[in-house]
This record gives sequence, C-alpha cells and structure tokens, in this order.
Amino acid sequence: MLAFPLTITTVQSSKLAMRFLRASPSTRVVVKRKEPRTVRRRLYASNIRAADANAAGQFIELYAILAVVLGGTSLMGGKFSIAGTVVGVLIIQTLDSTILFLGVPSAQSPVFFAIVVIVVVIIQSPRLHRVVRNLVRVARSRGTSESTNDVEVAG
Amino acid sequence: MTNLESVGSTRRDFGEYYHTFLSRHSSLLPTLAAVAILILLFIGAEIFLRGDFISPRNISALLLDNAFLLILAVGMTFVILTAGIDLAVGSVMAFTGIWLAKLLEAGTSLAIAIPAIILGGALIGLLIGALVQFFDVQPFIASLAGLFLARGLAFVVSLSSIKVETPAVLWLQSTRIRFGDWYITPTGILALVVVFAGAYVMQYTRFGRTTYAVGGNEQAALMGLKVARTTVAVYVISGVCGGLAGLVLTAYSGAGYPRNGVGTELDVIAAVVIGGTLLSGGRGYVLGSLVGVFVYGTIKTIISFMGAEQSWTQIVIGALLLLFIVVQRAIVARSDRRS
Repeated sequence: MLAFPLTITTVQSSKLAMRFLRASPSTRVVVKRKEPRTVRRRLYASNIRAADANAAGQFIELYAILAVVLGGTSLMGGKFSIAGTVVGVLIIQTLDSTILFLGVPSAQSPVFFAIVVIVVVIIQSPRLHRVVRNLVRVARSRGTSESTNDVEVAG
Repeated sequence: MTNLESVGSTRRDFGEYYHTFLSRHSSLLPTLAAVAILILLFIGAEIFLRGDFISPRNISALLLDNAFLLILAVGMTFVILTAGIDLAVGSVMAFTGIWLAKLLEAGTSLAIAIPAIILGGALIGLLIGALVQFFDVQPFIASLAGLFLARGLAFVVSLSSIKVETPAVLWLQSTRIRFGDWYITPTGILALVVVFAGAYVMQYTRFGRTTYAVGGNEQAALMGLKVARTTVAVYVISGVCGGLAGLVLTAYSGAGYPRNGVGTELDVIAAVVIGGTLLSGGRGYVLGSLVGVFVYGTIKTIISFMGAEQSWTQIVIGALLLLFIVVQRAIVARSDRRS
C-alpha cells in the first residue's frame, strides 16, 4: 500500500530508509524526532510484505476476470453463464495447482495466467472470428478438408 | 457621466472576455484548477505548518522524489487522451527496474541494459496496444493482463531484491547540480525532458493532434487519420515511459525489487486526472499532468511534515480525485450545452 518505492527487503530497508530520509529534506524534521520508530515500522512493513498478507488477494482481480471469461461470459457483454463461471474457477484452481506442482514459485504464476487471459480474449475477439469465417469459406470453396482450418485456427 | 459609461463598458468587456475565454478554453479549466489547488496547498502548508515549507530544498526534493511518477504520468496522459487506460505502468516499472538490476549484476554494460529494458517496456505496451486495437479488447482488461504479465515477469527475473552497485546508475540519483539552495538530479532532468518532449509532441506534431482526435471521436478514421497506428503507439509510449521510470526508480532506491510499484498505476491515474485530463479522452495536457504529479507529491510531503500516517495521502488524493471528476463532468456538460 505504500505509494513510495520503499517496499524493500529487510536486509536493505534500514540502509535504504536512511538514504531516503537523507535524500528528502521534507521528512527530515519529522524523522529527527521519531527515527527509531519510523525505521522499525518500515522493517515491520517489509516483513509483512515478504510473508503472506500482501500476497493474499493481490492478483485476485485477474483470477476473478479469468474465471468469468473462461466460463463463457463475453467480455463484450450481453452473454453470460453463472454455471460456466463455476467451471472457470475450477479450471483456474487446477491450473494454479498444476503450476505449483511443476515447481514454479507461486509469485511467478501470474505470467501463465496473463498468457491464458491474452489467448482467451484473442479467441473471443470479433476480428479472429471474421478471419476464421473467411478461412472456412475459402476452404469450403476450394473443397479442402476441415482439419486444415483447425490447424490454422490454432496457429 | 462619461466616466461611468466607460467603467460599465470595461466591465462588460471583461465579462465578454471571460465568457469567450471559458468557451474557447473550457478544456484548460481543470488544469487551471489544478494549478490553483497547488498554489493553495503551498500557501496553506506555509501558513499552517512550520513556515519553512516553501524552501528551495523542499521544492527540489519534490521533483526528485516524484521523478518516476512524472515519467509514468506523461505516458499515461497519452493513453488517457485516447480514452484508454494503462493499468500496467506500475508493474512494467517494477519489471524493467528489477531486470536492469539483474542485467547489471550479471555484468552487462549500461549501453545494452538500458535500451534492453526500454525495449522490454515497449514490447509490453505493444502487446496491450495490439490487443486493444486489433482484437477489440477493452483497454482495462488488456492492460490488466499486461499488469499481471509484467508483475509475473518481474518475479521471474528475481524473487528478491537485487542491489545495484553500478556507479553510473547511482550517479543518476546522487549527483546534485546546484544553483544556490536549489538542486536538480539527473533523474529530475530526465523526468523534465520527458515531460517537455511529451508536451511538444502533443501540441505541435501531427501525431499529437491525431491522439486528441482519436480520444475525442473514434470515428476519426473517417477523416483519414491513422487511428490504429496512433492507438497502438500511445500504449508503446506508455511502455517506454514505464521502462524509463524503472531506470529512475532503480537509481532512486539503489536496488531493484519485484514488488515495487504495486498500486502506482492508480497514483499515476490520479495525478493525471487531477492535472486536468479527462478520463473520457480528448481533453487534457501533458503539462497538466506535471501539475497533477506536483499536487500529489505536495500532499504527500505535507502529510509527512505533519507526521501523520502516509495512508492519509491516499485518503486526501481520493477525495481530491472525486472532487475533480465531478468538476470535470460539470465543465464538460456546460461546454456541451454551449456548443
């Protein structure tokens, strides 16, 4: 929650805090009086950050949106499915657990989820639908098999 | 008698000027309001606090402490002017910052590392822009995906903080170019250069005018403007600004840390909106964002002066933001009625 870039690890916090205090005359006056407490508070804050309280709920927006979208609700609006959302949540949980079991640190899992979101929104996009429709039409008129279309869609 | 008449006519002239000014420059009003608030904040702080608030050192520190915010705000102004939004800036800053620290730790030269991180930021911006323009994804969702991608990548680079020892990076922060009691650091100069470059591009180039046009009216394509290119470009600009801010932040804190800048995107948006840029796009100024960042920084400084909790900054900024959004809606409604 600190807007300042003072979200630093325990090892460096005291040094950096002092550095910041020196760099910013605005806080100088205050700090002369309260220095030990301020530094301790910063250390405490960084401990919490390093542990769990901050991680809990940090990426929850992405997961919520992803669950809703995976469940078949259109990002364009006008089309939704509550039951699908439940399935979406289950898919996400499965993906999350899989990523963890693969030995990827949980902090890095947003990358995978971001990629899934990007793929899903691209699949939902009207432009891709148009392209696919055109491909299908071209393929039909040429009389080629449907399987080549699938390959192109996947690509 | 003649005297009275002339007084009356001057008054009417003044009124006319006032109304002409209002109708011609209605988009300038929110920015002027921000300037007024900044001046009020300074005067208020000077009177009610210790009386040494307006000092060269203090105002110099304002630029130093908010340099990275200023750079992000310039990129964000471009995006918001096209009626988009870029939530990824804070994460991009964290990602580029930690990546820079990692590259420098591995012994890469700065000449490679800095272009690399700026390119990294630009690529994430390009991804968001492409999603928005070519796949019709709402900017909010596209940049949220960008946010998580960049944040995750920051953790992929390193799970813990990396100290920066390179003298050249620390030089950016520690050098003080002094003019009497005033000082400016290379990071401050970089931020100001970005601001003025942004302001120039916005006011005096075809690209800038296209940006305004796209935000004002999506149908701008009918006028033969290159909407697609502009929309993608503003997100790339925002990404580049994220890369630069990563550099500045790494220099500022002396380390890269993957959890840097959580929530910074909201501070940046707040600063840009307070600076008079409308979230609905098409109206606003880069220099207004400069004022907005200063309002934000001044509130933060005042609150540390008073010795209160920093969370009060968020509360005050939130209240101010609410006020500004309402004021802007009123101004827009009024100018729409008039035209």
